[in-house]
Amino acid sequence: MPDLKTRINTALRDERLRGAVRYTADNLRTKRNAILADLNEQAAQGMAIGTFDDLRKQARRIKEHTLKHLDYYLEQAADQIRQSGGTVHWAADSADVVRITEEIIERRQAKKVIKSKSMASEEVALNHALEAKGIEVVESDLGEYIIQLAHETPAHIVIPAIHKTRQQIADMFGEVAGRQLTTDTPTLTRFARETLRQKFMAADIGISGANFLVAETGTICLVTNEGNGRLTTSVPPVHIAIVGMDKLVPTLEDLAVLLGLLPRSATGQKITTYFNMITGPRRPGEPDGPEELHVIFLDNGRTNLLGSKYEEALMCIRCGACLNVCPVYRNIGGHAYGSIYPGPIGSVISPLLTDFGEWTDLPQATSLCGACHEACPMGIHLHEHLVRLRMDAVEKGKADPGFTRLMKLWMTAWRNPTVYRMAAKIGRLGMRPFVKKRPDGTEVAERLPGPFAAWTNTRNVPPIAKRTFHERWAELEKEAQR
Amino acid sequence: MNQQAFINRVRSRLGRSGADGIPQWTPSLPIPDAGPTDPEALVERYQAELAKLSGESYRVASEAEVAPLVVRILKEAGASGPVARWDDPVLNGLGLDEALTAAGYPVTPLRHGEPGRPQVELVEKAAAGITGADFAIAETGTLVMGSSRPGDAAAPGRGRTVSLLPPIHIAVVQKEQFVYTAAQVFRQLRQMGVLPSQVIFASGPSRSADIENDLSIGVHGPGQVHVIII
Repeated sequence: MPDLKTRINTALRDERLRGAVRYTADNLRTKRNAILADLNEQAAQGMAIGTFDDLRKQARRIKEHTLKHLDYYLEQAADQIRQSGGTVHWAADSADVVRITEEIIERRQAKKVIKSKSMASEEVALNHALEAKGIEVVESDLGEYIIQLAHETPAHIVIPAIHKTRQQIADMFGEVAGRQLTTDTPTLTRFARETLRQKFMAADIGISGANFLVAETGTICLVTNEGNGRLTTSVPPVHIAIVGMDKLVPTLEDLAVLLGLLPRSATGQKITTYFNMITGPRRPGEPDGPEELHVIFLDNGRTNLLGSKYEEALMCIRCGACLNVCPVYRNIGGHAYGSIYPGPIGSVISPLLTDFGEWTDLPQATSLCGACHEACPMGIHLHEHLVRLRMDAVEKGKADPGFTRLMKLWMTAWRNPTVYRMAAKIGRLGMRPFVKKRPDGTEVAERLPGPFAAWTNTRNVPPIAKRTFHERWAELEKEAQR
Repeated sequence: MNQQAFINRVRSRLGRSGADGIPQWTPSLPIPDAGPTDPEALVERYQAELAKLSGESYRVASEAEVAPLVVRILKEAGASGPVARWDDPVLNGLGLDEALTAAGYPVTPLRHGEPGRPQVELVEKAAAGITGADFAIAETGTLVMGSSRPGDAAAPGRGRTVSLLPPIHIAVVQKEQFVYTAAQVFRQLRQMGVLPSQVIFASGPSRSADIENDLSIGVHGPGQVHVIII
């Protein structure tokens, strides 16, 4: 993978990508704002269970409690899943998930797997591992299907194919169909429905993730719009759910709060078309449903966050609201981040899940504006974690040593008033040759030499003031004394 | 990794070496009893919300009107072929099978408890699926449907696929089944004890916005949802 700077530059040069990402992110943000305004209005009239802020507080209370007693709730959930006829597996890392899944596949002599959208399965790169063993793995979420055909990873947590145009989609579907398809949405949707329906009917195993898992009943909850999540968990004879251990909630009643927040924050919907609650496999006498249900609880670095100053990042419900408002995400899209978790939340959890791994630079890819925190339905202090991560990277010696030395030098210089003032004077003189006067009388430097070009390549710099504030202050003081 | 090792790792991060007892937890809502309780108001709100989601709803005065209405809906939708339905007390007394068969829509029999997937194969070929519901949520235009009757594990006959695989879903609900919020449903499900193997909250037809954020209906689930309110 090229380095972060190269990835960002590539994305910034891709006008089509930037246009598509911004269009959809804007759309999602507008819809979210409208539905939250509506919620607040309804709550004011006693016609909703709470305002956005009410629900946010309550949701934090639920998740804080669950994380604090996660050992208890994991055991309770496991007991309940087994009691309703399911099998529980424990995965410390990606390799465990792959091994457990392969064992089930082997025992069932399965050849075909159908999947509904699951970030956990993306996280452990399950598709690649299974395909390498000759298993057919088909993504059934329309967006995931599109990016699977394009051999890409999701570019957004909620809208995986946010960066694809209908022409590109029609071309890829056309290749599968063996004929040319028109680019209208109904044609493309119908093609996907028909093609994937056959895949569903032929699949030996369905693999899903989980949005929530209710500990007191062992119930897996899935939030979907298309219905592929229902098909994945109803049609194939085996259902495997990969569940991050951060997905637990104590009781059924807690779902009301989280379900009130997730669809509103993700897509600006009051509720998704389907909310699916699965408690065990098909019961004796039931006419359909899978014969086997397997729940794989996944750690994969989540314990790194537990009990640490970053613990609240485990509250994330993967709604993607922080992506849609992030000035960085909106300009570079998801792939430039490199991690399958993009945007502000990705820049926080990707380094944490992997003890920085390849992601030391990600916390730098932010403007620290705090829009993410404001949008987050769980109120996670994303911008503060990004700063902490930068500090941790330096302390742990993971940051770029050259850059760290430079910043230290900068810190020493700027702490010394004499050096600071001298630097201002030198800067003022040094900039002079590059400053231009604009027709409106203002002055600006459009192009600076050497390392400063990195700044002026994309923006202008106003010249350092003829008299700095310090100089003016000194004069004012003298005047005041007179 | 086994359960004990997994839990121990979690425990050590939480600063504990053993179990910490049963945590005290009381679920609560900022506005616990939001919304109206009057059935008429609930039905009206439900119909308005469902319409926003491109779903259709109908009100009938008596059970006798249901079967002819179902036939009319199927005819207007241009449906042809077999129809699948729940084997459930809510539907069994409505004379659906006779009316549908007479109108040229043979009713797919339910095969309870047979090994393999005969049921799924049959339902997949159906032109429409007819179900009841356990609750209807007015605030969001939502139907709540258990794969068996909630609180009654020994009452199968519904399954998961009748409201899912056919392109048309027709549901029959009683006026008394309406509540205002999902929160009320979660509370009642909790009180009922045993949950069905699947409970679905369905709000209108299947939809997606994955192609250039353009809304499309009927992606994987039914493209038409008709709700008949008795």
